[in-house]
Amino acid sequence: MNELEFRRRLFADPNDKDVAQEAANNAEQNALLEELKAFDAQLAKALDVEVPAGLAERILANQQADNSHNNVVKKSWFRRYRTPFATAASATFALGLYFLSATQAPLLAGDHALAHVRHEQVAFEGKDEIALQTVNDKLSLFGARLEALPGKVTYATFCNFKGQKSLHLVFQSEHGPMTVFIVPLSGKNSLGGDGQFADERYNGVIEQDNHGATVLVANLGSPVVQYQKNVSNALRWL
Amino acid sequence: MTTKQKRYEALVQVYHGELYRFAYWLCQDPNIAEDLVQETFLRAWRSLDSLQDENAAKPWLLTILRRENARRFERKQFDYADVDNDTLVDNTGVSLDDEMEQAVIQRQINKLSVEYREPLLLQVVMGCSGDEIADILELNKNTVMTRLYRARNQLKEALTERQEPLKGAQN
Repeated sequence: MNELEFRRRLFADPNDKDVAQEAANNAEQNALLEELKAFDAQLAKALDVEVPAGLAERILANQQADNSHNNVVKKSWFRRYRTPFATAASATFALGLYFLSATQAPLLAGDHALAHVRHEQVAFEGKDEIALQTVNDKLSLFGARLEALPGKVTYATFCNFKGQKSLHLVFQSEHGPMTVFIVPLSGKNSLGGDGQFADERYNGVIEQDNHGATVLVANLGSPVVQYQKNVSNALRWL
Repeated sequence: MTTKQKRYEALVQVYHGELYRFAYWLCQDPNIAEDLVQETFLRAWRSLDSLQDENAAKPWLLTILRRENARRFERKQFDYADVDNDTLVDNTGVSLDDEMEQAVIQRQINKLSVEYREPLLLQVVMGCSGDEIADILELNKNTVMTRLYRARNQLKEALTERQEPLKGAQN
């Protein structure tokens, strides 16, 4: 190993065994070897930055989150299609209503509510309870909130109500499931048609003020006015 | 706990510190370094089954990290290396002179071009051999050894030049 090669190999790797052997018989080379080793120790110290506290824990938590995220998807095969079908049904329904309202004389809000309930039967299939917080998260988009729920809510979805974005709720009562539409209104667009309405299966009531309308629909013969009052008393517009 | 989970936790415990330091000096930013390490381990978890031999874990993790780092440049065209990055690390309990000296060395390391800095980091921080570095960087070993030589040579020269002003005025 000539001088140049010794230097090249030493600088490339101060821990090279061949280099150490070569330097053993040469004081000058040995001094350079020691110098480079000391230099590397300095380098290692300078590179040894502190690792952020709790990094390993954060990495593991991240992986756990990734894991549970992937596990949630494990639903039985038919359940996986429920959401897309419900969405598709809702979209078809909205489209149908649009053509209906575009081609015919303006539909009364009560008829609209009845049609909506009749068409969106999927709304009654929910069994899981939806928390007040979840309902309020949705309502917050309209600048509204409910102080309390009128009963066990099993459905809460945004719907188009006469061209107005609204929240479609279903809650369970002594008289069976009841449907509530909370429709935000800005002064100029009113739903038209106030008071009670009914068909051969359902009856309902609409009440509106400057902020919005609450429409309640329930099985024929249910005390809708009383329940409607419960809802509108709990409703706050911000 | 599953065997896979145990394997993974062992990898995290053994390598997260070294990988963080490597990433820190590679991208010269503590926040990006942490993101890189997080992303690397997440990808490692998702494809842990492809790691057959535990001894190959270090080069495997490094390859993932380097790929993630390269993606960062595809996404963003900022040149982080241009940022004046005088990284002063908190070395508590170190005397002022040592601290000063370390800061000077750190600044010089940051000034090395990435083609010299990277093999040096792999060798000093990650403890990789010349052959391992060649594999990770997909270079032949001679090229790697030449770059390592030049990296140390440049550092030593730069630090020798700096010696005088560091000592202050001499009467």
